[in-house]
Amino acid sequence: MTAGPRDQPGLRGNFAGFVSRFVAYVADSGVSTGVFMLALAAASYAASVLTGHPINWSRGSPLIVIAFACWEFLYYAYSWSANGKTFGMALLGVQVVGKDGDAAGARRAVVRTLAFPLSFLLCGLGFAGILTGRDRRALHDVIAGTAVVYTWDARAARLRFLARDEQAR
Amino acid sequence: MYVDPVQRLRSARRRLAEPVESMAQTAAQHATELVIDALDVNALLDRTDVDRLLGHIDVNRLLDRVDVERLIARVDVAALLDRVDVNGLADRVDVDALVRRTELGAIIARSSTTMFSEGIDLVRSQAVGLDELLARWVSRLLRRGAYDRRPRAPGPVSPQAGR
Repeated sequence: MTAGPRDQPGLRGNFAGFVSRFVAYVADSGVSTGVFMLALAAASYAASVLTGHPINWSRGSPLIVIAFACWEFLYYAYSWSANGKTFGMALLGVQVVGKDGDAAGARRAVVRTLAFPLSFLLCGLGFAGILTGRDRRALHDVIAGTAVVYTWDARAARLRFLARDEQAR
Repeated sequence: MYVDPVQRLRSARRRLAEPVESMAQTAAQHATELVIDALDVNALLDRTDVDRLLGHIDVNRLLDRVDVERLIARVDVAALLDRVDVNGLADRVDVDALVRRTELGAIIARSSTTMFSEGIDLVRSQAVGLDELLARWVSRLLRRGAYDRRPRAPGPVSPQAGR
């Protein structure tokens, strides 16, 4: 049984847990892959209009793999350096910060993005730190000197719920 | 024998009063009918200054004398509603124009925003709840003892923190 919004204490600034981060990652994967597929479809349509022959993209094509890797790098690195959060993270109310709680910054964002696949490559063991560590940092967090915290104001959400309850009466 | 002339007069007046009164009534009735027949009501109304007439009426005083409760009690609402073509009425309403001209649009938008915000709050709170649950299990597995709820990150976290 999970706690409802009315039961949550203030969370802002606390280290984010595994589920929030995982759901944010799933949302980001969906969005970034979707945007990439749309871009490919748009490029294919443009080619068919200009040359009369649409481009048939192959998933295994090295060009596509490289383009996708570049796009993913751009998506995560830019989002983390700009405001510390991707679309999925904003949705779940979590944010990347420096290990001391300051802004992540461009350098740490780039290092974190490059180190991110490492956590997967070690059979997912890179993520164990989120579950076992006191500061809930994954391998790529340790390498980049970052942490992930909640930016969600649960107390405000609780007040909103109470206000809605009051209006409903 | 002395006869009082006044008394005789009184007696004569009593005898004559009834037939004279009856004749006067009949004459008045005939005269009224003749006047009404001769009267052109439309022409009379045309000559009437309705505005001036209404100016003389104290509407507030008139309304004070109206028993609204009694009036409402006499209205058969069901029969009234039966006579109203609600569907026809609804067809005649330009909903788009209504939304544009009233605050309904803003209310709908506000309601959608509230629903969205409520959905986000729910997803986040569920995720946080599961975070807690998982952390508690792991803490128990690692035999760490009492679970330290969400240790805080040091320093000035999330300057632009928000929703």
